[in-house]
Amino acid sequence: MGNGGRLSLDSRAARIAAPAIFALLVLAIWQLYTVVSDVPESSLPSPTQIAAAGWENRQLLLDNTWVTIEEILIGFAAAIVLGVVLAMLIRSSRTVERALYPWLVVSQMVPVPAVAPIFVIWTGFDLRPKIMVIALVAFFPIAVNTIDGLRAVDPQLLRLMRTLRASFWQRFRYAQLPAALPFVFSGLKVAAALSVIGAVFGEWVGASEGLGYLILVLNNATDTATMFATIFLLALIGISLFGLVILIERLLLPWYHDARKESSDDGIAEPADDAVEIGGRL
Amino acid sequence: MPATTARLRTEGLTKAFPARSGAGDRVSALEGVEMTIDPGEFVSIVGPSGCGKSTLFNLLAGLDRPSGGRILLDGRPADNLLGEIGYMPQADLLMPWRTVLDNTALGLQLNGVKRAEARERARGEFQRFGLAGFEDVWPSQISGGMRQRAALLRTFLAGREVMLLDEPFGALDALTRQEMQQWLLRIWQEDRKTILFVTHDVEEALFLSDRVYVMSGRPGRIELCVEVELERPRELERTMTAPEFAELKLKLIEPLRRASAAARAEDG
Repeated sequence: MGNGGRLSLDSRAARIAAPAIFALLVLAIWQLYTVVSDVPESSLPSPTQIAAAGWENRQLLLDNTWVTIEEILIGFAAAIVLGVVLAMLIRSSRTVERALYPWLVVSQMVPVPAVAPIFVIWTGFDLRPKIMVIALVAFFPIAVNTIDGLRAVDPQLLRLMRTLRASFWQRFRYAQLPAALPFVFSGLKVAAALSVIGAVFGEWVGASEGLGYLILVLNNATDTATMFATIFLLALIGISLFGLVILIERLLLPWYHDARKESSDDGIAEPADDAVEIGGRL
Repeated sequence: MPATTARLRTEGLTKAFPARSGAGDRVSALEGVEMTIDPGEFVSIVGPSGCGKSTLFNLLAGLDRPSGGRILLDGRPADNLLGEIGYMPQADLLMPWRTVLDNTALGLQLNGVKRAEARERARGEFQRFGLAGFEDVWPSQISGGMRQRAALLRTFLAGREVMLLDEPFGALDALTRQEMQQWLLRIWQEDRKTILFVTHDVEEALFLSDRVYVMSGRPGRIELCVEVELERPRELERTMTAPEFAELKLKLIEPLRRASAAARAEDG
């Protein structure tokens, strides 16, 4: 955390300029390397070749981008429902927690890409197996963070609320839920990145469209430049989804963002995770 | 027999907990606590840390059941006190996700008052509670003294006749603390609610109270009860320099010192 003191004046500009300059530098070196060395375009196309190929195939890329975005949005939504419902189930009673929690962890030991073909056998080549893969990859961080979040409320506050005659439902609605939301959003940020990975896996196992599918096709055609453009688009989708989560978080939890800003101005360490940290800087 | 019915009265109040070592042992936290608080009185409890003040407050707030004895509210034995008595814990416990105004209106809202109306009623008290102009900020943006006043307003607005205040000024600096004491007296004089106040500051207890109970620890019991007949309204400089004040202080300090020494010996 270095945004106190002498950095504060130009930190905002630096926050945007520094990564941009770094990216330009990498691109320049990349460009230079492809020019001076005799690496073939099929192995490593130059940034300008990638841009040209991307522009040339823009319709193809765009069409497949929409397909993948649809999968990711539906899959991500499914992951949220699955993660939150599981978390609430697990927090609802000690018995359920004992029975389910270990299996929740075990579920992450199963390599999801290996399970993906089974989904295809079950449901065919349509949208469904992709959504299942995405949900399966992305629900875990949501579930785990929500479980932690539902535990995060100050027990003293719940006692105070009982003296104010709060019902069980009121204690949940006014105390437990708002205390849990920052945690839920931490989970959502990790899940956003994972859902892009899930979409690509889902398409690799069986698809006839989408950016993941396109990568396989382009790989066969050794059109490396367009492949790079496709990867760039996939990354862009991930970043956008991440940004969307942060936007919703700021709208929904203005208090959280304000408090964080203040505590970092004071130089107080924050107990937040890395995803949140990156999020705060975007 | 007192002429009026005591607002709050404890008779032989006892609380024991299962010992951590297990084996059916029980640790006594409170033993035979007898206390009387008349309507509109300001009563303080002083005692060393670990003397059972928190246990006592949890019983009075209805968060815990006594092992023996009973609590009478307005002369009636109270079976379940939860929600009958206002309780302000040591920590302000303001919700970071609610503005200061919404925090103070919480008690009203929980009891079925519509949010808009609860906010209006809370807003009406902001001037008196020194919070005017801070209605729409987050609790993290106001000072410690203001946070305590906001927490107190939340307790006030919940509308209970008896309020338990657990070291509300314990975490404040000396100067803020004195201001808050004078302010609290003013508020109390205006509203005449019944207040039971916990502190380990003898001067604070004397300055505020009609009566002071000294508690000693393990098991917690009432060691001494002192009537404070200093004239009201009280003023910090005048009251604290009065010879009667010094006398009362002397009367309290010795038993309190013994209680602290005993508590330390138990710890050691």
